[in-house]
Amino acid sequence: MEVSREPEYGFYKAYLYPPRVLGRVRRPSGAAEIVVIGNRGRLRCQTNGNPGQLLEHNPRDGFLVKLVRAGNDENIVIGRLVIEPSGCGVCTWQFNSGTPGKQEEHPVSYRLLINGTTGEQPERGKADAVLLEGRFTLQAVARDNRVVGFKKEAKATVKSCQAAETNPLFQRVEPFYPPLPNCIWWQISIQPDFRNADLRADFCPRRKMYKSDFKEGCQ
Amino acid sequence: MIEEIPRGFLFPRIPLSFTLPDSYPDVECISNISVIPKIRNFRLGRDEMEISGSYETTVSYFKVPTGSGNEVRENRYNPKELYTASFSRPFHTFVDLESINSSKPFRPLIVVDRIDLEPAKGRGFKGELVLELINRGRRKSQI
Repeated sequence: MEVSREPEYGFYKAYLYPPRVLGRVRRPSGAAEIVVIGNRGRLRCQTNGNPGQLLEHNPRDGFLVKLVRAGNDENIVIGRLVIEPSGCGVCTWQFNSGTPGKQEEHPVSYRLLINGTTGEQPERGKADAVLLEGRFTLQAVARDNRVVGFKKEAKATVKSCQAAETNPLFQRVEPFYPPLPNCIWWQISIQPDFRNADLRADFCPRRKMYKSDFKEGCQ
Repeated sequence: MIEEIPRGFLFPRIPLSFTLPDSYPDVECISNISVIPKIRNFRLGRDEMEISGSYETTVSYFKVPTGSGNEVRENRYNPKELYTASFSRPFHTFVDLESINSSKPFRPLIVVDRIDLEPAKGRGFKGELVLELINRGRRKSQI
């Protein structure tokens, strides 16, 4: 019996090493295992021991796991290591991927980084904050499929109306400083009142609604 | 979301032994591995199934730093250099239908249960691989 081509299955494993000794020690400090079936994938990484032990003099209390796409500097924060009773750190991430074998997809290389953090904020810019690093190459791009931030705001300000460039009903906002990684926040303007729109002098029901129509309503 | 892969039939563990071609540098440590199993053919008999295909294992590794061991490696060695080699191995086996979910339509998929590899003495890698046969059945959404 012939076998159908779909779904493509791939198994990937990246060993994790402290970056200072990456490529120089034989015994890895952990591993990430990735399963891709069709356009869905799951990454699970596990450290051999508590990653905090790697830094005796400067203990960390949080362990941020992130992916860096090679040559792109595109970061995806995929979660935090959970320290299990055994002392190992574990993190699982589900993602979407392009269908392997498609013409437009090329193998994509990633670096998996485990950052030590103190408190809530990751320590940016500190090279020694990276505790473990691994590399792997997927057949297609891994895309985050989580809806991370979605804020509903039923009030539009004049400022947001003016700044709207594509769809004036959806306004990109950045409510936090420093910005939360991996979060996109949208402010949704109030819907124009179509029921009473014909009261406006310039209203023509057969005319396509233009951006300027919406802007006018906000002023 | 990728669903939990239903448990299937675990093949006996396969000892792996790969030798690098002469043109490749010696292995210091392994960076990453990929395993792509492919089923070429399968045939359902009365009480057993014949299945054949291959699995391609790709290994990326860091080479042994050049120079004597007395040198300070820190500045002389570029750890970004990765070398990659692929090894393809065929499989052809029979599986007792009682040990798998053989409900029709039968849509077999070979997945990796686990793989472990380490640099071998000499030039290459050794380790073991456990493959698993699952039947994806009629539910397309499953896995």
